[in-house]
Amino acid sequence: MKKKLKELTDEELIKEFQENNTIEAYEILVNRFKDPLTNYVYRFLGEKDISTDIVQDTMIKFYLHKDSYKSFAKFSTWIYTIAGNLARNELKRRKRRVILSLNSNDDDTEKRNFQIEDKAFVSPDRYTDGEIKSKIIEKALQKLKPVYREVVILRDVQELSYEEIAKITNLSIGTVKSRINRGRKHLQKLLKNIYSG
Amino acid sequence: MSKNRYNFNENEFEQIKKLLKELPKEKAADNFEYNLMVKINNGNFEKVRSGKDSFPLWKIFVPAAGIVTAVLLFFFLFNVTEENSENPFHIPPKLRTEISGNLTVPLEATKKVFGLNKITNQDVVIIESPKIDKKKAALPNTKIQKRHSRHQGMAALPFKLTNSTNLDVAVNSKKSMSRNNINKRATLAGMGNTSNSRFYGFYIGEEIDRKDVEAMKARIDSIKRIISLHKK
Repeated sequence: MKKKLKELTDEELIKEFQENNTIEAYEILVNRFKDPLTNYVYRFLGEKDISTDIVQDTMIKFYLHKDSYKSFAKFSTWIYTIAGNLARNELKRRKRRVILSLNSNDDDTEKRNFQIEDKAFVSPDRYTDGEIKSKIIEKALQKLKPVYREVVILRDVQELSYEEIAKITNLSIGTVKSRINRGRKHLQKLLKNIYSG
Repeated sequence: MSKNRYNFNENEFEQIKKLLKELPKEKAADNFEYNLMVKINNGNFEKVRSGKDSFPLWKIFVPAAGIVTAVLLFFFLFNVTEENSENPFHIPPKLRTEISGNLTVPLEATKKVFGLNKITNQDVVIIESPKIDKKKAALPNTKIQKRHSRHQGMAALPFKLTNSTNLDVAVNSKKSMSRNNINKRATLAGMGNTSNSRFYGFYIGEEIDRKDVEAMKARIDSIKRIISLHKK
């Protein structure tokens, strides 16, 4: 039975979970989406612990509101939408916290700027190191505006189609494409130094 | 071939796309599923992340609601509005029939109606007012008016309504009024604190009698003389 369930598509699994409340179907879906969602939320927020919490909350929401999923939509789109909304809420809350906090992380921000823009601080030969390279890309991603960052991650990191991104973000395909274009341009400026390596 | 409306060129960002693809894929923690199932089994999902630290909008109105409640309490407890005092604009107007039971009619009209040619200007003719059906004339507040109408009607006229009065006699008799009467009329009615006294309004000042003035002068002169004699 369990082997059979594993062979089912996402949409078939959610249907099984909706109709028969089969917990195995739910577990399989969680197993399938926990990593891509963690990667997406982590790239969007830049913090591991918070992104894990958000993905857990996404799965709980999925468990509690399974009936709100309609069969005409793709399951991946639906679950990405939930995760994206929660991640956006987290960003808003973080903004509020920064405004209210007297001790904002000014030092941390300075370091970030320094690492990306000051070539002298991180020597060019070290760019060959993949780990540092990915760190720099991560930081550059965090410097993008959230509206651009979200679509760039969905397209270039998660490799979703424009249609799927448009559904997840509730935007038109044209807006999605234009935002992706702007986001990439901005990234290109920020990562100029890496191309030489 | 579709138009490129957004000035969008995929090849332009090949390097960026490659860099982003190369980023290591972040994976969920090993105990992710275990933690999730524990949360679900314990029902420990009341605090779903979207609800955390959120500031409910209704809290904005708490101070305003407090102020409104305080103001209302102040009005109710201390009764700032003077409900006991009589508002003159709320008193229903008096019915004319209740102010004066009788009507005075001009002389010529009386002569025409009653054919009384003997009536002179000095006579006062009293005609009873036509009786009005109380049910028809009744207004919601007639009961209240009945209590006061008798006194107020009397106060409106300087002489009794039930008796006929010769005005010439009444005017001439003024001069022969005794001093006590003068003093009485000079006193403001309703000045005392007695519950029976009523204020009927101000009267026109009386002419002073010459005899009284001369008598007063004589008295003052005699007193002055006595004082001057004592001083000597």
